Amino acid sequence: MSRLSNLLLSCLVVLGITGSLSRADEPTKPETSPLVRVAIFDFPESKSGGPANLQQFLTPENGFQCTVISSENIRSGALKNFDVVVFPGGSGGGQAKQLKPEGREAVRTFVKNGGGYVGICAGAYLASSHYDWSLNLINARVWDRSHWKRGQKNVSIQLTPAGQEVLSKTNSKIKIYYANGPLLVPDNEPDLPGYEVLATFESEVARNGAPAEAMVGTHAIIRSQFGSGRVICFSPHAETKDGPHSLIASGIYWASNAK
Amino acid sequence: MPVNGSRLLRTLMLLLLITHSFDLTARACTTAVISGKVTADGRPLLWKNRDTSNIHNEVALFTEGPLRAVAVVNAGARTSVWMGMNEAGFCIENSLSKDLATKDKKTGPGNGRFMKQALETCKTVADFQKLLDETNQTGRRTLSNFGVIDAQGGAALFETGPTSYNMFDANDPATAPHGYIVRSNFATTARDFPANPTPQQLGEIYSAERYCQACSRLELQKPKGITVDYLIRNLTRDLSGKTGSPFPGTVNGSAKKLPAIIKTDNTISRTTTVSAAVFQGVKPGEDPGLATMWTILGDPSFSIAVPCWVEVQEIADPLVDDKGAELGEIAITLRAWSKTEDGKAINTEFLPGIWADLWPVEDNILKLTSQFQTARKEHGFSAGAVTRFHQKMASLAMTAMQQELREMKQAALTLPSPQPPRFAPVKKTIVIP
Repeated sequence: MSRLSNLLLSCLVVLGITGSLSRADEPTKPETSPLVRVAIFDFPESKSGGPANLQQFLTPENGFQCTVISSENIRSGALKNFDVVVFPGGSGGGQAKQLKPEGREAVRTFVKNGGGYVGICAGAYLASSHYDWSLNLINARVWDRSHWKRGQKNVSIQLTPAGQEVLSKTNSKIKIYYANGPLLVPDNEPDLPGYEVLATFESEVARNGAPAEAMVGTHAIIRSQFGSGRVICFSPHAETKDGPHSLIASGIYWASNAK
Repeated sequence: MPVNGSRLLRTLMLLLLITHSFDLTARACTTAVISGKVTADGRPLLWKNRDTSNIHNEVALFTEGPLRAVAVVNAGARTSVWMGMNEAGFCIENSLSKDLATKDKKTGPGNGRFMKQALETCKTVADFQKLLDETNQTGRRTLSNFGVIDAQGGAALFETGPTSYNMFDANDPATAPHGYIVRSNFATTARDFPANPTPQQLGEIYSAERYCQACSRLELQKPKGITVDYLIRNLTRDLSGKTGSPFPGTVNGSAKKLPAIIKTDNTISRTTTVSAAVFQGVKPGEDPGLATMWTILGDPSFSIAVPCWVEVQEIADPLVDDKGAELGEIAITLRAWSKTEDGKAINTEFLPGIWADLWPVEDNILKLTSQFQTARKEHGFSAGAVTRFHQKMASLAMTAMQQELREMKQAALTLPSPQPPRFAPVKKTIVIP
């Protein structure tokens, strides 16, 4: 090879390295994956702090764009603009009443067609197959329903291996706030698939007459599918101030079925 | 739009009827006063299955009044009692009978408050009658069939309105030829029935079925002598249909498979039963302190009987809690899991297992208590010893109930369910700092 061609090759190599360096030095562009569009259900009488708490961290920086929607919005077809609907704490029966039959059917249709459903406490009661006002989105009953008002306190939950995969790769035992949420157990509705347990209760809350030992071992977080949509239910409140927000955010992300 | 008068009236009457029926259904009870003449040991018996919307019950000691008493109360409430006995061996219970209502305005104690007053002041059936005579003048808000027994062998039922009453003496063969008086939610006084109406006379009135079933069960047992054990096992837990035939597989039924679902509209043990008590009185001359209140907190079909005495220094912990005694609360949990969606029937899947577990424990409690009472008569035990024995029996019952709760929870958690869907592995979780 001539000296001239060696020089040319060297220049090309240097130029190539320089070019690479200049590209690496450019600031990283944000991921181009679209934000998960989250609808959070609320109504004036709900007295739920859930929507406000969720909006604190379901932000574009974390990959979410959330909007609070009403039962009227749901009845008029607003869910088509979202990937996931979240039903937060409050009263499951109250939420069902607000939705009215048309709203309940709209939620079921949304999930059946591929939308995600996230139920937190009351929203988990609502999603269950137990009550005549339930949405029947997930094959779950509520154990010890007579003592649903069993109290509020921080409890310990244990994530199953599936729970760790979906919600938290790092911790399996989590402290979380519990407030009268459903103690979930399997139902056997033949038209619904079963559910997968993501977390179980390791603590007991037994106030207001609730018998001791009724709660430990029951299911705290579960997931399944309804039609083409994903359903995840949280009995305790990961969304509270200082709560394990990653859990609920990961649950919402999973329910969105984002590619 | 003009209002159609007769249509409006019909609607109002229908609403009134619905409201009235609901009220009755929610507050139904079944009771019996049994003379010592027809019991196996000659001691009078008194029984009540309590049906009400106040599901959380507990046992309470009353030590402030002239007479010390023990009673079943609504959890956390002490102004009324719903069945109880006092240190004189006087025992009382009631069943609601709205047909005793009068139109004029009433004042004075209602059913529960009046029973508390009676427990704190009456030593005998005669004292109770005197209290009724006095309060006939001052007025009451009572609409009740009060069943009472005492330590002198007295056993009577009083159909009691706000300012009047009618007494039925269970010891009087003319009034009670069978030796007992049964009542559910009607008063013969109000309806011009005889003291012991027949099914034909009762016709279709509310609670007629429970009345007839209780009579039928007592009549069956009478030749052998009616016992505490029989009332606890066979009467408080009777599950019979509208025609009066016990459902197969139940305590009084044939030894066949239980029907999958039992509607409890007409059964004695019902989805509205919150507690029961069987009082065993004493013979004349015996220590009134031996009178025993067998208490079943919760629906008897899902619970277990525990003996209580006025002499105990404190009520055993499983029977006390101002939010609902834990033993009864477990029974509530067990029943809730077995109720059908409309709440008016029982899915019987778990009943055989529950009975197989609980009844041998109850048999043991009955046996141990019988031995204890015999020894108590012979030697006389201190209040401390009676308390310790009461607590021991409550503990036996509670241990069995807790085990039942664990087993039912496990059954709920392992219910065969359709397979869950298989999801693709999750590649990303969101970490929020």
